[in-house]
Amino acid sequence: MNAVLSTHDIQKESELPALLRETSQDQQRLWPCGRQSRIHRVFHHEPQAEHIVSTAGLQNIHWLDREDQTCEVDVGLSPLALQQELAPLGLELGVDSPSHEAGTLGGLFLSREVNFLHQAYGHAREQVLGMRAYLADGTQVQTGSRVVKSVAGYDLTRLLLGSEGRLAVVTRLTLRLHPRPKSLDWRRMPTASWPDLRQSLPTPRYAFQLAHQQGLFVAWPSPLPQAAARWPQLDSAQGEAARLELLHAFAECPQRVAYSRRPRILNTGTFDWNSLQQPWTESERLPSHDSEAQMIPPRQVPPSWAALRRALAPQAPHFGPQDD
Amino acid sequence: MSGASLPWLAALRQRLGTRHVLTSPAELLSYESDALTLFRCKPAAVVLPANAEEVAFTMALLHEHGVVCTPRGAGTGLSGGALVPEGGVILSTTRMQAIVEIDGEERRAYVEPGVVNAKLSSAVAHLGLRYAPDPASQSVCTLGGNVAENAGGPMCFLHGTTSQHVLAADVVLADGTRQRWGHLCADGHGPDLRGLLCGSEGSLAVVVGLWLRLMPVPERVTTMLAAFPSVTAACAAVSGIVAAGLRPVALEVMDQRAIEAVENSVYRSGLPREAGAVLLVECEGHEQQVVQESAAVEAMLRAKNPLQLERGDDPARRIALWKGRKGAGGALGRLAPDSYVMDGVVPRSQLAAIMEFVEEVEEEVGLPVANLFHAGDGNIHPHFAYDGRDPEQAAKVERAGAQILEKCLELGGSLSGEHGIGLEKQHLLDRQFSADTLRVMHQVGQWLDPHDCLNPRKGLPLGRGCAEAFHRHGGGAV
Repeated sequence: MNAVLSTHDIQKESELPALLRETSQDQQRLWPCGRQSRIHRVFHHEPQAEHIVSTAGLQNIHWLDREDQTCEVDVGLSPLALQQELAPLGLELGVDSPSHEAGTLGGLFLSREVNFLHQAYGHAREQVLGMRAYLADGTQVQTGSRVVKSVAGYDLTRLLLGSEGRLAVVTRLTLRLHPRPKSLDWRRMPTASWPDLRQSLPTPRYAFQLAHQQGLFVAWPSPLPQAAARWPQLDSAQGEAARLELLHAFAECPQRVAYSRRPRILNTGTFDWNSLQQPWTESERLPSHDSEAQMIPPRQVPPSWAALRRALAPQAPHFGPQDD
Repeated sequence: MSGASLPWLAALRQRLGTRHVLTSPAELLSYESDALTLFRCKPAAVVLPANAEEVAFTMALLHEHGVVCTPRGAGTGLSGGALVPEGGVILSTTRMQAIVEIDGEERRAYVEPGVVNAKLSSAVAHLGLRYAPDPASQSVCTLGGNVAENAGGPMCFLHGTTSQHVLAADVVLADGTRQRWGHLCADGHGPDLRGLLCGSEGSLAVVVGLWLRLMPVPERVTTMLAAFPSVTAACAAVSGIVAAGLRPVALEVMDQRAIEAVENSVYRSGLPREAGAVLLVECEGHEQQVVQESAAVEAMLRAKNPLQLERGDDPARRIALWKGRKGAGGALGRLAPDSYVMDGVVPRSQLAAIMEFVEEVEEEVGLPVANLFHAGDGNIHPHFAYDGRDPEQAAKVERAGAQILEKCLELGGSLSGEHGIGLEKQHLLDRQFSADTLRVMHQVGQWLDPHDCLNPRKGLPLGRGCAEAFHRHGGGAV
């Protein structure tokens, strides 16, 4: 394991290029991180690098365009802090994750955190329109744009998302925002429980199907008080209190689960739990005119992070996790 | 060297069959440009592989002989991206049209790249599903081409562009290597090459199979048409709808010239000819949701004092309205021998500003411009009608396009929303991205295609003459 020689809490973006050039020249390992909330949870160890660079101190909202529903923020801001800024403007970020409070926006997007609001707004990665990042040699790269739709050059944003600090130190994110639901109606469901995890697994899938088709909020897991604190409407919801134990299906997500794309308008009809027992029958396999084309197996493992890192910054120190 | 005597042709003919390797001038004619006819270049040959194996064979062979290759779908692209420099080969995927698997439970389908966009939705309709991206050319454009250009369409305001609907792609690299990029569930590990592939204009890999996300057909759809005295008034209505937190699935604007063209064509759909602009708004979802949302949209539109407001709850009327919108490009094509369909993006709040600028440019160049655009995304598509046989007109149109795109950048926008960079906009890309960012993009390209064999000289300004390899205006090289 590499010993940590230094920890740099970056307070200004301008500090980064010189620091990166210095470590690059010395061929030292560097691990960019936010508050390290996920490093411990996922990698189960301390960062293994000579230098830790934390961007948690970068906390600015550079601009926030209410009309265009976009913003540019520093990566060190927590998702909760951003949501609190957005709420009075009637906007919200289309992402909710286990690191909502303890983590940073950078950590959320760069580590491919699960998005509890996936059914509402899609994958977390789709919320990022652009980034500002620094490569190992201190080169600044600005990817994407501030508009919600752009096909210009290669989509470097996609390469940086999920890179967990392996390619660059990301400092800013340009994000897509969404109108905040004016009210959230909560559908109360009967308690359901299963003797083991495997039996519960089909349920979220069914619930998501239902949510997507009918636009209703599906369920919330325990702990209820925690969810209620964040979504006060729960307290005033009518009907029989109940809980659907989706918790186990989301091993890493002990908070709330997804809600529908348009949660403010709900169908409050009766939910038939018996339907959960019915297997799906809609799957269909069509005969192919050409069996060769069917389910093509990958002939070669796609390029790894290490290969990409070598391509982008051949002189760079080894960034981030040593898993490739 | 004539096409017929090229050494690699015999091997291709033997493997693919003579019928599927085109070399005669008449056969090659339709491959010398895509839908942007400003640029032309006749390929040395066109190959039509039937499956992934044949694509891999073709790429490996061409790689070995140092022959450049451009993948092509239906050739409906609008940025000159589907051309190949002289001596190169076009690899057409139009024979690869199988919808291989439909998985209704997981809401996904595996298709070959030559499947026509609209056919996928038709094929899954009986399961209550659809494929959401709906470019105007969806009745002819292919899904492989959609991935190359990260195609959008009216519905992408809510549902996103092609990238958001591609789960995984089976690809063939420039040297014939086959790989799968992306994952069917969750995000997996490793770089998101699936995301990188979308919008890469065929310059990183040839798509041979796609796992695509399917969405449920909405329970109810309501389309509204509001006529306004001007484009500016229509843009103000769009801003009002978005600012109110409403989320219709589409917000489309057509100006007076576009309305006139549609009403004078087979796409006639009863649009009000007297209007300066019409705004099409569509809401979809479950019954109660659409009733409430469309009522809110209607109230918002009424508050903007439209000349006319119509609700298209009747499916027949809705189809007619969309026939007019989607056929507008074709209708405008009748106005002059050539048509230059631009593509730029501005922040939504700048729509009125960019449309005013387009008017100024129109006056300056003295050529008619029609506007139809995806207002919800700030994605404009000015249509210039011109005669490409007149070099002066063609030069004017190209200059005007550059002016408008530069204005888009000045307003905080992007050079392209869904047509890509191709040949058309290469020279402007350094206005949107820094030299360092472009260098990194170049490095990424080199990483996957070190010898620049796949769709070379497109997309990125590589400082090697780019568009000089192609011909413009039906004349000589630039």
